[in-house]
Amino acid sequence: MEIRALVSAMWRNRTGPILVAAQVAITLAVVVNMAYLIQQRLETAAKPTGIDINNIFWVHLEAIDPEYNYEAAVRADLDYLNALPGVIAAATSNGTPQAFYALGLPFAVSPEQLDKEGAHVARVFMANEHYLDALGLELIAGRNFESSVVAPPAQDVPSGIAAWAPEVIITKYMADKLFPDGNAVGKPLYVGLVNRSSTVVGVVKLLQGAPMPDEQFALSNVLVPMIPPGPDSFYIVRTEPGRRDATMARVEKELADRVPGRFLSRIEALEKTAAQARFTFRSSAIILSVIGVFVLAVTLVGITGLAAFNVTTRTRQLGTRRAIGARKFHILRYFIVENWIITSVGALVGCALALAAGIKLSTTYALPRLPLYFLVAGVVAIWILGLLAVVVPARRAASISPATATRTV
Amino acid sequence: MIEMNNISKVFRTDVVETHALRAFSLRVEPGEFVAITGHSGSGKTTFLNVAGLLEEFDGGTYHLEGQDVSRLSDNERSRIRNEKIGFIFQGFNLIPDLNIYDNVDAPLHYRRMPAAERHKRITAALERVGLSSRMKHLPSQLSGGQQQRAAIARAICGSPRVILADEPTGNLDTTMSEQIMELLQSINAGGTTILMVTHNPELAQRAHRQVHIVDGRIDQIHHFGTVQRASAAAGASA
Amino acid sequence: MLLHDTRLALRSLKRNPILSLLMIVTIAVGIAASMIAMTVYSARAGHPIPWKEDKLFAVTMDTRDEGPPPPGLPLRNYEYPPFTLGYQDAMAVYRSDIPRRSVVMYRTGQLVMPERANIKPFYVPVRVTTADFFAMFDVPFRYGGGWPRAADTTAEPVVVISKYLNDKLFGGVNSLGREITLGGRQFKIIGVLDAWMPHPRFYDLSGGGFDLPEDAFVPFEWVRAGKMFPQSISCVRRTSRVVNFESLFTEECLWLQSWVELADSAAHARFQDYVDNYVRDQKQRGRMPRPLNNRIVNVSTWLDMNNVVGDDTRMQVIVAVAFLVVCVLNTVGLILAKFLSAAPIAGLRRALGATRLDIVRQHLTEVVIMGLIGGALGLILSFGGLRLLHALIFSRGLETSDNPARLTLAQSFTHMDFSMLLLAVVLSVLTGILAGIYPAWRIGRLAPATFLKTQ
Ligand SMILES: Nc1ncnc2c1ncn2[C@@H]1O[C@H](COP(=O)(O)OP(=O)(O)OP(=O)(O)O)[C@@H](O)[C@H]1O
Ligand SMILES: [Mg+2]
Repeated sequence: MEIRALVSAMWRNRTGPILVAAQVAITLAVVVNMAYLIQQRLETAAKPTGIDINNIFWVHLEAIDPEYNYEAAVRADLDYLNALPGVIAAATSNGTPQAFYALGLPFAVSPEQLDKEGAHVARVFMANEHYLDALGLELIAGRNFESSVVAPPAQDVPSGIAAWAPEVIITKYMADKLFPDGNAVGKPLYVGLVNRSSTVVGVVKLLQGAPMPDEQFALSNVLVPMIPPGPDSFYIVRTEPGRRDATMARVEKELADRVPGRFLSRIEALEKTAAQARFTFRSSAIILSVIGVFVLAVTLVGITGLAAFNVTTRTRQLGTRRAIGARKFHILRYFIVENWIITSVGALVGCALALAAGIKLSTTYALPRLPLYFLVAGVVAIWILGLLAVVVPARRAASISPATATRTV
Repeated sequence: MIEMNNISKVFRTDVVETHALRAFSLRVEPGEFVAITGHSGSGKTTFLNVAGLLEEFDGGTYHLEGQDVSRLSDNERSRIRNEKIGFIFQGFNLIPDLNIYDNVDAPLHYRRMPAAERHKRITAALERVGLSSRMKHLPSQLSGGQQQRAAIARAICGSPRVILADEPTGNLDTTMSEQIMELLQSINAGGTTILMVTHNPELAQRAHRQVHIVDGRIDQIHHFGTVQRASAAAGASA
Repeated sequence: MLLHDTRLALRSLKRNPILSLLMIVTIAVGIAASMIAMTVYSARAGHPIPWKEDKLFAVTMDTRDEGPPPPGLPLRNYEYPPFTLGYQDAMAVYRSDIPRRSVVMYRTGQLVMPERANIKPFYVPVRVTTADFFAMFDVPFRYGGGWPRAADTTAEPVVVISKYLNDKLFGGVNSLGREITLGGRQFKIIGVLDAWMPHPRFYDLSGGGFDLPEDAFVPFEWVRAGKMFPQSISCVRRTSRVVNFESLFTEECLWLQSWVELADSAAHARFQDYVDNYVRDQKQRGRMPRPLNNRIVNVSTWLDMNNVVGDDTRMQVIVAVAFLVVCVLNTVGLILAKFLSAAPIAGLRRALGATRLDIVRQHLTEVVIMGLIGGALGLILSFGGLRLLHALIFSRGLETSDNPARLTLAQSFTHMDFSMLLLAVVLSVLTGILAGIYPAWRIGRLAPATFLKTQ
């Protein structure tokens, strides 16, 4: 078939094709970028955490009695929790990962490095000897904290932090960043705000502090052996698979009353906390994707509409074409090629739009540039969907009887 | 060339059954120029459509150049239309978005002919109908007579064995009709069989034979002349 | 004339019901998406206190270290100074007598011990603030009022509580003079607020800006007297050292919001000078190494700097508008197709004496009617969409709170007010006109002969 004749015929009635091409262009730009954003978000949401999320819950107790002996209570509570049937481990901490709670401190290998290169900011989680087990973290180098090194609770957070601890455990991500030659274990780690150095005694394979797109924020975490300052207590409990909810119910009933002068203010499955942390950016991704689907749908309707309109107005010439020897296939091909040209022109413009929008998107959301394979996939998808959209009217065109040529006036 | 035996064609709609052709038998020799006449609704167009494989028929047999065409697939029918048959319509039926050259080119496209060959044929056909200077015009930029000549160029450029014309002069004035008729006769003189539906008795008499249809049946056949060899006929029609 | 056009338009719409429906639905979904996105946007982009736009100013100073941002920190707008002040600098602002009113404050959480046994102790957010807070932000009182400035320095045990807290603890009666236990200490109630929900909560945007105001307000000196530790604190300099609670007051750690009310632009200029001079003086003492960058900004600028609207909301509006554009383009195509296929009728009308204007106007009427129907449908769709949005997203977590203001807050994001309704009407007419103007013009431009000749 002669493309030239087809194009020049199309050019004579260009308004419709131009409108559809413009729709395709905008659609491509919108859909490709939304798909990328959504993919980034869902990927972030689905990233491994290193934590045994499904079998963990946390519990928060508030002290109300001024005479409340926090230190003794923590000891008793941990003994009780660790002895519960079905509990793998229970630890106390200043908060749970996955909750955007952040005690961030500046770290470096040495004070000089901190001054020269700036800090490596990391989340700090207070831990005891049960912490790794209570979260299900995997230690890949060095050792766990011994119970003797865990510092007793301080007056308040600042004094606790100020006292700091002689040992820390860090994530592999951080170890790789701060000790690029490997072997972080045994090396000193300097903490900026409190002006102290501790020895790295262990490295955990993975601990995602919060589900954030930026790895530096998500994976830079430091465990420091200390009981958090009271008088409110916070425990993280990990159970054997399938026993979490029953254990939670029991703890909710029993724990607070074991020591007078306090009450249980919140108990929650970590699964829920983690889902909540992912909710916002997931939900807005969903909103965007719904709009994206609508954009696509409207454009496909536009393609079908234009083709259907063309079939109606061209009935006579289609009959004539059939009469002078066009096969059904030729008619089908005519419509498909015509539509393919329109979508391709739209897609070409759309690529430029998509790239421009992609630059804006990546600066706004601090994302890597829109990868080209997204664009390629978008163009291919538009081609395929455009083809599907035109198939029905094209088939109708092909089924026009050749006798139409003599019957229509 | 065309051999129809007992052809019947019935149109069924929800309310009525129309027997457009009944026991229709006709034999057309190669090189013959046959005029088809009859009242409106008598079945002329239907006959032409059946003869041109635009429509299927319900009963009887039809051999085109000795080939039984009653059981052909849609693709084979398309191929035969494309290679053996040329159509000329009352309403010209040029494709409005294509210029004259491309219109004439259209049937050649559907058989994979090399571009050079196509070009040669198109220019020759347009030369023949006297439209060489209008190749780049759109149909809407031509007069009715010119459009019909372009349509004739399209019909002949594929060198068909038979040309089917349904009231080719129906939309034209007498001078134009005359021109078209002369053109058809000269094409016929070149050996191409022509079947032409017309309401004009004068034109019908210039054919070799006039077949008059009444109510889907052949009512009368008039013989006005016989097929002559191409060489002899060339001078006669001029 | 209008009636005639309308009648013709309706008849024409009925002639191709599927096509008309398709166009109306296309317009409707386009308008619905835009309306939903813009409703959420306008809820976030609103001005909480427009009548004080040229009076209220947030105070910031650039106390950070020299040099580029720390590597790996994807901070946007690093050129902005931090949004909170350290104790020393906030106090310097507070000492100035240029502002008519001046507030230094922060947010903390404290335990409330109810007297009634059937209510468990619970945490409430508490604002520790200087006395001007209430007058400055036009906080409405139900009973009583705030405290005198003197109470700020003496840590007088007085408290202003929210309507919610008063309802919860005292069943909504006038509780002035009664006492509540906050963080283990007794406070006398001197004021009860009326319903108050600045939206966004501009005076402290640290939680994203869309939270309720605190439930209790106590004089500023309680920071020391009650050791009420701030909810968020950030230490900005490499040399900062936090060793104990006292470090809050001595170190380069930021945790205080500072706002001033200035009489006029002259006062603003004088105050800017005052702050700049203060910072210059501090530079002499080796603090604040960065170039002068003290921004004293009104509420709009402040909301802007804090990106309160949010990237996602903005993105949703952009995408929704792109969607509407696609819908309009689509409708233009369909309308054009429809008009052209009915061109012979228009041609006949012209042959019968209709002017070009008649034809254009008649076709435009048809499209505007379609736009209005589409707009009405779009409005219904957007109400539905907003409800869905509320149910799926904004109402999350409501069940865990007994504060009815939370529901009001959640609903405010999906609430379409009158101006939004007006926008919907304008948008639908505009969509109709935009979609129809070209096709109507095309039809009007065709010469009558061409209509009649075709086919
Ligand atoms: N598609 C169809 N469906 C039903 N009936 C049809 C159809 N096509 C033709 N007919 C009927 O078949 C009969 C023959 O029609 P045909 O078109 O062959 O007549 P004609 O001789 O060409 O008339 P005219 O001189 O007016 O063109 C008519 O009665 C017509 O109504
Ligand atoms: Mg006929």
